Amino acid sequence: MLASAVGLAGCSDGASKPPEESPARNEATPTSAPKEKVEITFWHVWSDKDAGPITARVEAFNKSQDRITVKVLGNQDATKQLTAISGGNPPDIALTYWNNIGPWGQAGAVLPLTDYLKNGKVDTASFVPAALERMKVNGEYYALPFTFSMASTLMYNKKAFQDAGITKPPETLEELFETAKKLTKRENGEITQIGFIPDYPWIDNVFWPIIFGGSWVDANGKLTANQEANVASIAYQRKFYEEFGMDQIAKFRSGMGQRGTPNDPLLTGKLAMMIGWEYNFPEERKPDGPIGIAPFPHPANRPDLKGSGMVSPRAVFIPKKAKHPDEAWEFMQYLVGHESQVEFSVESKTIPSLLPALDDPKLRGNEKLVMMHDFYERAKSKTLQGFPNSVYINEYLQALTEETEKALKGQATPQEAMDRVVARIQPLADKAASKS
Amino acid sequence: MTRTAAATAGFRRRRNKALWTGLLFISPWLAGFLLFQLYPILMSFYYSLSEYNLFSDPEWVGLQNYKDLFGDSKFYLSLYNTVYITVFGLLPHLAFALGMALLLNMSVRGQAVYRTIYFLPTLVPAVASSLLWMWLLNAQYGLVNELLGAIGLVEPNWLVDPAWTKPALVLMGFWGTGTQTVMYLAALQDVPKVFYEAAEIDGAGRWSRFRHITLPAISPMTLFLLVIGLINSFQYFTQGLIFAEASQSVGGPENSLLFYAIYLYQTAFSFLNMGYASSMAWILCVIVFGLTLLIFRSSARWVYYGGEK
Amino acid sequence: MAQTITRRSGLKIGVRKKRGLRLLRKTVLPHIGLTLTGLLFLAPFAWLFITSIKTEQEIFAIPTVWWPDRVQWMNYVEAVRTIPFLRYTFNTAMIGVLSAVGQVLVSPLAAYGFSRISFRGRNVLFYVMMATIILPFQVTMVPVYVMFNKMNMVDSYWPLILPNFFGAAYYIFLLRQFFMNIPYELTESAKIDGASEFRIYWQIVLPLSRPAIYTVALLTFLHAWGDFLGPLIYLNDPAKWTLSIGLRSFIGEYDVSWGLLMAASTLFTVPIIALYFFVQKQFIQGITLTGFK
Repeated sequence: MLASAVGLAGCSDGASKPPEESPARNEATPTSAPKEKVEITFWHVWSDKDAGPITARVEAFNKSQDRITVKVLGNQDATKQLTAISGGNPPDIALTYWNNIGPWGQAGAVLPLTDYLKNGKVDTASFVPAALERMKVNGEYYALPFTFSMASTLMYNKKAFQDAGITKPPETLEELFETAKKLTKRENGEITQIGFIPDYPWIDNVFWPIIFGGSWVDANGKLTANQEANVASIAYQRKFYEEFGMDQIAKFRSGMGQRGTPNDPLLTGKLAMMIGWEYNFPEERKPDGPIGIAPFPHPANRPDLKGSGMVSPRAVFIPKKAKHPDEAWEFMQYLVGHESQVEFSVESKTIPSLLPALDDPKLRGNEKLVMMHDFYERAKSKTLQGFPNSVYINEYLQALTEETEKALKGQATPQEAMDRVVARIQPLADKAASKS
Repeated sequence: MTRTAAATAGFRRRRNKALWTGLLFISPWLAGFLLFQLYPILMSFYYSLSEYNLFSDPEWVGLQNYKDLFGDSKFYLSLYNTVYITVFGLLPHLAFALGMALLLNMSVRGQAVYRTIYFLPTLVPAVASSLLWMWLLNAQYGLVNELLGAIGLVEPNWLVDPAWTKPALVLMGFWGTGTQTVMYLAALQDVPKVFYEAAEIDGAGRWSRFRHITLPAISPMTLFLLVIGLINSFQYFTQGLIFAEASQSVGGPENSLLFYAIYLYQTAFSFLNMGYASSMAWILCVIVFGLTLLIFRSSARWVYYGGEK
Repeated sequence: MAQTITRRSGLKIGVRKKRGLRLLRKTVLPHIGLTLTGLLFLAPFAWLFITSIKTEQEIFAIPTVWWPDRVQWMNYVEAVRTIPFLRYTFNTAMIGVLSAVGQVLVSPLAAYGFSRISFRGRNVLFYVMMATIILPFQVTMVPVYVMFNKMNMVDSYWPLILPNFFGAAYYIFLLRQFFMNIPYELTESAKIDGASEFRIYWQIVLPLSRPAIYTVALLTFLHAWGDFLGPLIYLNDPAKWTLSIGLRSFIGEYDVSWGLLMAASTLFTVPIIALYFFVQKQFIQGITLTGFK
């Protein structure tokens, strides 16, 4: 395998060194003659609408030095990246979602960063641990987290709280359930306002188990999706359906209004509370806005889980057959560096993945980012978690969604559903373990 | 004796000439096939017998992928969903397209405008039209349910209730029949007028003319649309994906929208199991090819070509 | 007396009734049918257009806003400004036209071979051709990409256009059905006169099949116009992109600029409506030609 990769790299570009040959050394040793100018290609997933901040980073990098020119290309979704990498024409560096790193890394499409990290400028300890952890597959880092999205917040409609006479947001999950009951209104037996829907905006098979302190795989490679905490997280969600009625929620939900538009149900108050990400309602959650925020509740008997939540990073990686891996690494270090992290976060209102950046005065002192300040603080929480990355991650997530849906609909008990997930996916995990 | 030999030789010469002329005519396609299609097709067959994750070299596993398929409940489910959309979609849509084409073939003033209008829905990009359908089919305030409610019928939760997601797609499919309508229209234009004139003189009624002239005359087009419709139905993809997105999961509510091609795509590009996906593709190919052969075999009985001796 | 009058007027009424019935059947009923279903078919486009001139607030309003308070033409201005609209339109049209040219040049030839020349192995080859479209593209996509990459054609229009110059099973099959329907006598007499197969093809079969050829050109163009995956995978340079990729520009990671997307979608649709309007006129010309039969 190694030989073939090297051979191909040699074929595609005679001048480039095979990446396995301790590539960082080239960079570390100061060379007497200045190297030739190199152009590298960088692909990301954003469309024009969201591409501004990343384009600005690329331009800044190009200006910062005169050896490497980065050519940036947006709109390159996973299918395109896969086809191009598999088809032998990959970019030098690319941005994708964290859950691609496991399968792509194990399949041999991504260059492991282990050697680079040993000799580079990047200090892995400075990353938000939960974000960095997602880049790890079988003990090796295949990518670095560029930014991440975070769900550890409860968002609520302030007016709905006022109308119901609720003065402070729920702190425990038990309170959340009671508050949701108080915030639910019916007319002629039909729901007209609902307090909380646990699977809105989608069935979240990662968020909920994290909130209950669950996990998915143990140190011995045994899947743990059917352990107590995970099962409890589904049973908890199911309680809402038993309370409000399956069909009634389904019907009300379909007419609730489109998410992310001026008729978003949380804005109109049809939905009183929801799981919040840092990109939800950036303007409306400012101090005088209609949306309130609070830490997401924790189980009453688990105060140690306060501040927990889920992170889903965006990953920068170097394809194995990249023509200029050294230069790509150079650029990657810039992207995850302090300055770039802060600037990007300012422009795109995202959370930097670098711990020191979370306290940067450019973010903390910026009045325009007032709606982000809480999130920067919560990003430091030790109880943040994520889903373990692996080659079989997408099958695992898909199975979790399918079985959780059945449990929520009462077609199976939560325990049965999760037992089935483990039975379905354990063979894949065993196979992956036997291969590595 | 010598005469027969000469005749046979002549026949053979003519047959050889026909072979070469025929091959000459199809040679551009043949070249394209050998140049662009043969290699990928052979590769996909090879993948179907391998474990292949798109990046590492394929590892030969023989028939393992096929064996695994027969124990995969999602394989059967996705096949069922696909057969459902084919059975309930294909024939009604074709009949509808034919009806529309007959209407659009009448000599009525303003026909050009009508023809354009009927083709419009096929031109609207899917991202835009799906939004319209989400709204039309909304359980609470959608127009379809308001109409159904007005005449006292059930008001299904189209996009959420797994029993109704596929019927919703079938219903929506009627708006996408513009291409079939255009093809039927082109076929109808090709029916020689003299046939109708002769039939009218014989005193044949409208139905009889339709049954005995129009239907046989356009039967080659029906064969085409049937075969292509079958092939396309079995590869049903985009609309299913867009609808499923409404419920934020591949496959939609209870996987009721997990069509064969969607499962195949997910297996190949999300699970990185191109070997397994390829074996799915070849199973599909065998099924659809078998059905296509059946249709072609039966066509001797119901398709009439004007060019036949 | 009274009786005859009644009878006479009854007769007159009968004639008028007959003429009225004829008018009803031949003109009024078709118009009613066409208009009613036509309205249903107009709905998606009308909806698209109306949405394109609404504010975001109005687009998702409950209850539905049927017509915006103030027409938002700015959506169009913004949409055209956001993406290089003219450039993308030109690129897309060029791919579409060249693809259509390729198909029209080649597919009828192959279709003729598959329909009007009987040679050994023809059916087998025909079934092989059908098999190529039965196998889902998802599993051949990567090997095809590998091939184009080896030919150094990635990031050019070649992978999108070139295959059209080798015909496509879909159109060859379509044209085969038309060609097989052309009366045998029409070509047999020419054959007896010693005309070559190519001459028969060029001078008899092709002219008789104009509606079919136009259909192929139209459908090829439409396919190229709406294709998303092809341009996405093969084109890297944004200057080479097409409209369908451009449309994606309005869909963000977390939110969609609905007004702009709808305005751009309307603009995306208009040129093909015009094209279709023109092509369907050719169908009518087709009648006069085939009327000779």
